[in-house]
Amino acid sequence: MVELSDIEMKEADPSSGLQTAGTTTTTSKDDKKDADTLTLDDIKEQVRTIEKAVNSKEPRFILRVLRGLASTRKRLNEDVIRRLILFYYGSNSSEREILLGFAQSVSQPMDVDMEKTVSSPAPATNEKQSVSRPQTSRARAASLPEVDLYIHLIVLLFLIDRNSLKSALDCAKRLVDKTSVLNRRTLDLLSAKCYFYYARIFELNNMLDSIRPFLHSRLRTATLRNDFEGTAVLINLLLRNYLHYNLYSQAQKLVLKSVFPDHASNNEWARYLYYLGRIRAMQLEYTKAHQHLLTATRKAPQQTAIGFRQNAHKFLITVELLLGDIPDKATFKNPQLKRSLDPYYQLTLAVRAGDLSRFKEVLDTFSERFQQEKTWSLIIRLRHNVIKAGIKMISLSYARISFSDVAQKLQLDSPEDAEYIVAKAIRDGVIEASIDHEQGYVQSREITDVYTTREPMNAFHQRIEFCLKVHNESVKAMRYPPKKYNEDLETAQKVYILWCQQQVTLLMIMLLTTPTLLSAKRHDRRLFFSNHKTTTVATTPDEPSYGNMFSNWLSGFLSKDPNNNDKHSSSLGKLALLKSFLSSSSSSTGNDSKLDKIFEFLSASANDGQNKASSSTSKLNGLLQFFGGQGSTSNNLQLAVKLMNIAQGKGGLSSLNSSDLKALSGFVSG
Amino acid sequence: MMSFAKSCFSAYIIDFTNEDKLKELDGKIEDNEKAFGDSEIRESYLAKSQYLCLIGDREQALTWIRKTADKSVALGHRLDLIFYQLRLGLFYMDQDLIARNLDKAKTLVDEGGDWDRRNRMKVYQGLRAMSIRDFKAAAELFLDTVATFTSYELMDYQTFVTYTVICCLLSLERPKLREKVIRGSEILEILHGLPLIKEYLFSLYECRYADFFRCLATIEQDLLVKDRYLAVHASYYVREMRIIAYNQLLQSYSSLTLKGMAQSFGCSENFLDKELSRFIASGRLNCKIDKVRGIIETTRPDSKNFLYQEVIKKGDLLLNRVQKLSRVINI
Repeated sequence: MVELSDIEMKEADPSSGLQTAGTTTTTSKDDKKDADTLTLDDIKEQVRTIEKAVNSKEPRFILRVLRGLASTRKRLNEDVIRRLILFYYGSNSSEREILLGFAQSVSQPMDVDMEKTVSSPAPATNEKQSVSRPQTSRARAASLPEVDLYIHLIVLLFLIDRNSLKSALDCAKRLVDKTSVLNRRTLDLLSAKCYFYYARIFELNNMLDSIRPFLHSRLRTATLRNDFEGTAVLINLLLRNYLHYNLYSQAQKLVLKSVFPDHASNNEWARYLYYLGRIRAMQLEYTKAHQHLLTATRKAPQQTAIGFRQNAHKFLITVELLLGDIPDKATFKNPQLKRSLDPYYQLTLAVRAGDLSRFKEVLDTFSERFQQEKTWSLIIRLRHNVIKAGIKMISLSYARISFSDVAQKLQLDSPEDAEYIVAKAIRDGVIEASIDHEQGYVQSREITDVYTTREPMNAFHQRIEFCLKVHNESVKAMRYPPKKYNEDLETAQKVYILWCQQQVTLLMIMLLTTPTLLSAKRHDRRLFFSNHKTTTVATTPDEPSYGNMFSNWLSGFLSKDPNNNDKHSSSLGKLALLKSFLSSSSSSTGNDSKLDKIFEFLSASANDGQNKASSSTSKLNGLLQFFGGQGSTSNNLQLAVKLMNIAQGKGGLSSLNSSDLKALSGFVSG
Repeated sequence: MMSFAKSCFSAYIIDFTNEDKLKELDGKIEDNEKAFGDSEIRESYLAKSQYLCLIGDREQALTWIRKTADKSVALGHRLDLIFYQLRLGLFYMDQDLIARNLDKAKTLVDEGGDWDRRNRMKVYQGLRAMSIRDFKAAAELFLDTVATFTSYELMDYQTFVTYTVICCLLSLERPKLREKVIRGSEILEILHGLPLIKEYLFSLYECRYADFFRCLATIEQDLLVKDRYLAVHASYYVREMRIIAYNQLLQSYSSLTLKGMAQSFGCSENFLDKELSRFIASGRLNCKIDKVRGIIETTRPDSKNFLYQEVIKKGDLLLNRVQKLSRVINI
């Protein structure tokens, strides 16, 4: 799913739509039109994918479409939106008007030039043409609620990008009402996206608290319907809502009461863990918070989602400092994160040195920034950590040290202070030492071999557990490769050919036993030719009329055969009929040589009845060669088999249908 | 190198002569193209590129060098041109240019460079390694070419020996140091003319730590900070040398007084205390201070625990990467 969560991300990604609006006045109209047409085509492609997804009930396709949403969004502009709406909502005019109204509400404040380029004549004719295209596919598409929802979503994104927040609000409300009407599983992924943007618009309008009850009711519905993606998105939105208003206890309760679905996408998991980490950090559970935030950074996409990763890293660093660990320098060197993490780097240096004065300095310099990023409350707790880090360093380097020295090093007020702090540190397990009160010093204990404790076992156990978990998940996620389908098809074809061979041998036997029918066949032939000349043959390349013509012809032929002797008529006769039909109805410039060749071959094979040695597969192959070398696709194969059957007198002309005829005439005309 | 700098300054003043000279060179090139054969054309291109190098016009110089390279066939000539580009890169500290050209040079030399060029290339490589803080590689490369130094266009022999000593002191262990540097005849020869470096080297080797610290301070102020390659690494270098010195002393003792150590290093106890606590906390020195009694006790480094920490750390890095890969699963 597309990753979008924070203001940083938006700032880093200036709405290129606005930029194109500005530059369209200078660039040529053609360029703009081409880009728009491309965008439009892409969106149409996506709509087709959605249709496919609905038909096949596979959510994968919708996922793919949604993943492309980020790039589609950048290329939207007024023109594309309008054409899109007009294209898909031709029949359903009320919806169209409303959506057009939304789209146009953006253009009013735009400058006059934009209007001019939009109202140029060329797009108008385009729209007309597109309206005159066959209605069936479009109407079918627009009637699908998924497509409706998708297009509405695109309009909403367009409005957000144009910063027209008021109309975006209305648009979002309508959109979300639409999602609540139906209970289709295929709508789940799309409606999850809709909820996300709905909440986003309210956040941009500073009206977040008003949607909380709504989100809760939707969450209940989604959980009941086992809609894992929707549940995940809604839980994340609620958590974001609470954290925005600093309602940590309520957020905690939500987390306790709800179950985050396992199958949600990685991006939702990343968000959830991030919010969870923040809640835990506020509640002083730093170890858990650290785990959550670390997993969140790992689950987030590596190249994109810079804003999210920056924020997650900020909290991660803060929590690490609170735990007493020094974060790795490499995280600060990452070019994407470098600038935003700079104050945290300064902070880390101060904490690492155990230098209280430096720490205070950093706090003063960056206090506003920390407050804005909501890490302030965590950072002021760091003062103790600075001292703790200092004590740790001291206990590492000194076997024994007096309290006055400690106080001096840590810039504390007095040796008694130092003693109290050291005592507390020992109790918290920060250092391993013992205090000798009379003499006034602290003595560190010897470093024991870590292998005599249980620590290695625990550490290794955690890591092994993780590896096994990943292994199990990857085994569960394996899928059959699509290649197998092709292999299956080939075996099916081979079976079919063998069956044909069997049939052909059967009719050889039949042919040999019916020599007396020859005379009847000649009569039929003459009958047919007279019939054929009187019928007028329409030669339009239109498929429906072609099919009509053929069926007319065939029914005419069959009606002349009172005993319905179609199956016993001569193969030669049938071939001749077919040939004459094709030669008269094919629209080529007399490419009859091919036609002749095909039928020669067929007649030869018909007469070749005795020669069973030249197996039917070779005959089939020979016939297939005439089909322009298009290989043994299943359609061609079936056509070839049918022709062979006719040639050998087994099948009837009624076995051919209009598409076969069309294909055959196609081959004949080259 | 200094000629580059000087020429740069002069270029500002004598800008108009540049144009004249360039026109003259262009004229010569045209004549050669019309009348003479390939090698003359190459010579004239080379002259132009050299002049452009001289006046510090980097882009033009690079283009003309490339053109000359197209014309040159002989391996030696091509290598010379690559060395030109390397010098330009080193002058502008353009790491990208240097890296690319070093690779090219290496392939060419492997194909069939003569020994002279091979050695010169080693000097370039060593210089580059030094500029990116890879003192170990730099030391090895410099030591290889000490006997056969011919790259006078880069630096003079004395500077070269200085760099060699500086890199070797940081990266070589005592036995190798003794064999290659203390007993190295070429180095000893030059060191007679460089008393500071000689004192620096021998004071560390002979464990005269007070003198060593004094020399180190002088070297830092006079040499390192002012040197174009080592200025950015000055503080790192000095810190590392201090750690080496402390370790060397502490290796011989199981315990010693803080006072005694401060005396042997010629510095105050407070300073030493600060230094030691800093380095012990970061794990560079293997000892512990007993402040109450004023003693330093050495501890033997514990390899098993250290290995365990390494396993955990590297294992976590690997697991990070596995987790990134496992993102594929849900999609």
